[in-house]
Amino acid sequence: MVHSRIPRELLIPIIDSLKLGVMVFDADCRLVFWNKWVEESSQQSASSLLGKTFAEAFPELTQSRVHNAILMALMRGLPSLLSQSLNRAPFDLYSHSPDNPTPERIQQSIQVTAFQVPAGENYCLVQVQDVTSVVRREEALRRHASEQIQYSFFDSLTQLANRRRLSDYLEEEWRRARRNKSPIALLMADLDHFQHYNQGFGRQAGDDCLQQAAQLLNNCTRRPADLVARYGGEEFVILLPETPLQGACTVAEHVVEVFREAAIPLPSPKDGREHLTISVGVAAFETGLNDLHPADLITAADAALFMAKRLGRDRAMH
Amino acid sequence: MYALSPLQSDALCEIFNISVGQAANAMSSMVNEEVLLNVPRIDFLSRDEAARVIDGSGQQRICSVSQNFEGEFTGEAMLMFPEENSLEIVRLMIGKTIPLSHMTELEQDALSEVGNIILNACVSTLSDLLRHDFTCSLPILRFGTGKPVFAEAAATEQDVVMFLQIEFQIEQLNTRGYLVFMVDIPTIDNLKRGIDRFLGGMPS
Repeated sequence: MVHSRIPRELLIPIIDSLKLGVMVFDADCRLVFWNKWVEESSQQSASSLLGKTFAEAFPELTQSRVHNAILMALMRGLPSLLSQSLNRAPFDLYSHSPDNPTPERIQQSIQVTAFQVPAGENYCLVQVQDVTSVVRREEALRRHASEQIQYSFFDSLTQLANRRRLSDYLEEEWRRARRNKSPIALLMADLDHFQHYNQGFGRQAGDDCLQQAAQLLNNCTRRPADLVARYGGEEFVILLPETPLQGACTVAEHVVEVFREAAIPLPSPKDGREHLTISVGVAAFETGLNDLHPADLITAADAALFMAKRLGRDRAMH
Repeated sequence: MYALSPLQSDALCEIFNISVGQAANAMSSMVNEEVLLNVPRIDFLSRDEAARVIDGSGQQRICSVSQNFEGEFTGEAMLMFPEENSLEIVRLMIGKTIPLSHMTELEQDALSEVGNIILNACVSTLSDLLRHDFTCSLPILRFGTGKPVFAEAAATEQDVVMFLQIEFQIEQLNTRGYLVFMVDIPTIDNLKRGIDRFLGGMPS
């Protein structure tokens, strides 16, 4: 074999030249090797740590995933991969570059493997790869994608969230509510006799009216987590995370009142009313989310909206 | 051919469920979300049969993570999920809300790690059953349609594989994958003896 001819005295300089962290632990989980890259990134000399057990050398990582991975390699010969995404940067390693005065924590991808020497003793090799630049590149990619998504998630007429955004957000908030066992509420609001408005004043005026309605609805929510979305034509949704039924009904009553106060004139009286009104259906789930789906919340609010329409419009129902 | 009796089959599922349960706990604490793993079924199938089950309707793309093991005998353990679901698993675990159209390098690493944790749990169960330790390679990630992915890995001669169904559950995602052990036939005989030993040791 060719590599058997490599002079032994070359091996350490080669390993010390690697742009990769190399650590070796013996069968008792004692650190027996620590290359120059690790020395420089940790600012700790190998001599200060050699002979120490993993737990003594890295007390903050005792019983962590990397510790368990090393033990599994030593005891069972099983290798482990520790990805940056799921483990971030377990070891206390920093890049010290002359152009950057504040050292930056190195993002790590770690491989833990077992090997045996001819005498039969087990060793564990830990390789630490610096993936900081990959992390940065992917973050930039995500930022770019998120800007693109911003464009595709908003309704161009009203600037409210569109249905797609609503569905994603509802999914996220639903999961959070289920996890935290917190209530979640949704209002389904529909402008009354909007067809009549459109026919009387024309489509352009109809669009202006939708914009004004969006503005009014937006003003009805106060918390950053609340979301107002255009659901379709003249239908809107307000999603209220962490809100029980009573709170949601208060918001719904407020919405109805705000439209009454705005007194947007209709082209001609309809149902004895001279102004545009709104009907709101309220649904809130406070427990038992495990057996339900996000779509059930929309269905329930829709059913309540139907009731509000049937009972004469210009009201909120739950 | 290598059919297991219902008792052997139940016992084998139970042993694997204990170890994948531990793997699931490890992952749950890593991601702060409940991860559940379950092995509902284990069969011995011919490679063709296994490929047919994996390929399902035909052109579904799958993602596989595999590890070679070596010792008194050699073999390969391979975990497979539909590609679409593997992407979802990774994103739910990482908790990134901005989806990119393809799986990034770091996401692929994370997926390899998830596979590695599950495979290690199953390989150590196998090594307990066979009373033999293996040395094992790091995980290899592959993408493709079922048959080629499976054929590429199964370069060995033997025809019978141990075939585990694995259910993976995280948040609202509930997906089914497969774990295939490709080992030679004498090993399978050893394995059956291992199961019998396990059954013999169980209180009746």
